[in-house]
Amino acid sequence: MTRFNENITDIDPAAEVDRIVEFLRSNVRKGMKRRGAVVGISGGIDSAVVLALSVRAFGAQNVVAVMMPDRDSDPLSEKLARELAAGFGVKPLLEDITKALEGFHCYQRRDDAIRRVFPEYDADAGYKAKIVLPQDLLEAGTFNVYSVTVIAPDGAEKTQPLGARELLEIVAASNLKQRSRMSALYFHAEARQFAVIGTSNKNEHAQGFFVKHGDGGVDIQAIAHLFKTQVYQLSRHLRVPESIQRRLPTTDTYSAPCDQQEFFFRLPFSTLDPIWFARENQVPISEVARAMGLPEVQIQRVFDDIASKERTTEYLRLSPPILDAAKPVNA
Amino acid sequence: MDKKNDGHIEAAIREFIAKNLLYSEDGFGYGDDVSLLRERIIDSLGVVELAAFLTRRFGVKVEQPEVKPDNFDSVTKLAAFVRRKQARVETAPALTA
Repeated sequence: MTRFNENITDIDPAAEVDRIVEFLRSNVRKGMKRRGAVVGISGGIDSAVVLALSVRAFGAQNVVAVMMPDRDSDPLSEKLARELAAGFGVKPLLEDITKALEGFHCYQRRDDAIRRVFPEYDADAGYKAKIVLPQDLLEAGTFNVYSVTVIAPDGAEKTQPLGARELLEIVAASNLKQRSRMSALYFHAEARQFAVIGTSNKNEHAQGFFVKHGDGGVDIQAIAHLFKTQVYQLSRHLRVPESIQRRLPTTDTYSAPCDQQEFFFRLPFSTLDPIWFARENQVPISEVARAMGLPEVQIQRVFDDIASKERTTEYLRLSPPILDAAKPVNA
Repeated sequence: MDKKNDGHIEAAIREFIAKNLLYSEDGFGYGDDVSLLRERIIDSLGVVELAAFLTRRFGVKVEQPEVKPDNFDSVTKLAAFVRRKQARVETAPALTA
């Protein structure tokens, strides 16, 4: 095997694209008997790559790209999504899910929980909010304890750790967004006999950065085996617009801007991915530390954080257990 | 046994985890040194609940940087953390006469 190095996750993008295209075709057409693909596009790198792969697999005429913003979404997301769809010859559909979320009381439920921490928080007055993890993973092996940050209209920021009840309510309310998007995607898929193609990458899928029956509710996962850095490699090969390649990965879920590193991953992908690869391939910590130029204790912290997230999010990847057939009494 | 180390802190922590994090009707069922993380007994939410419990039950204020495996990853570590915090409060000079 090649000696471990910080570019160890590099792949042959052309070969990998061919492999994924064949995987999509055989599963969707032969396995699921579905004609084409529905992809939710967010203006981010993952859905951009999946749209490009789907167009290669099924042809632009058999791909539906759906943009699903809500009132908290960054307008840049829709602009980039339109640019992407145009580049791959797909006419994008717009499904604004704000009304659906109001029907679920998503915003009210989330904001009520935030106000229990910061009573002055008022979304209508221009306050914005996000939830974040500590950003010192390499320096301190702290637990993944979330805090809420509110930003006042004058720009003043305040952060407080979240109690269990508030965290659960904010997450449960916010997850209504991903579940509403899943419903919209399945409308378009069922109306056309198409399959919904998942856009989660390996970092999101294996560490549990997705919503069960939300963005995790799909027919097939196109890139869930790829590290984020590998998704970027594919994006260059597939000629995804540079504006999307350059965009900082964002949750685009909370009203305040919130990148994926502060919300969940706690490290840049260029650091996280090779260390994760090393852990999966049992590369000795001393070798990883040397190649990454980091102390062994910091590598161990990253190993521990990955293991912790994998363990604690197992529930998200679990299919509903079903009992064996009941025992007939007259057999 | 020293009154401050008679095991009542460990017992309360075991009881809290059994009831509130394991949903167990048969008690805690693990050794006091077992890693709560590795055994998947607590996740990040469980940690928050434990921190709130320590404050409620033992009157210790838990600062966010203290919420780390060194203090929270076993019943023994949690109890030692509580004792250290309590000792610090007791030895701190009074702010008012």
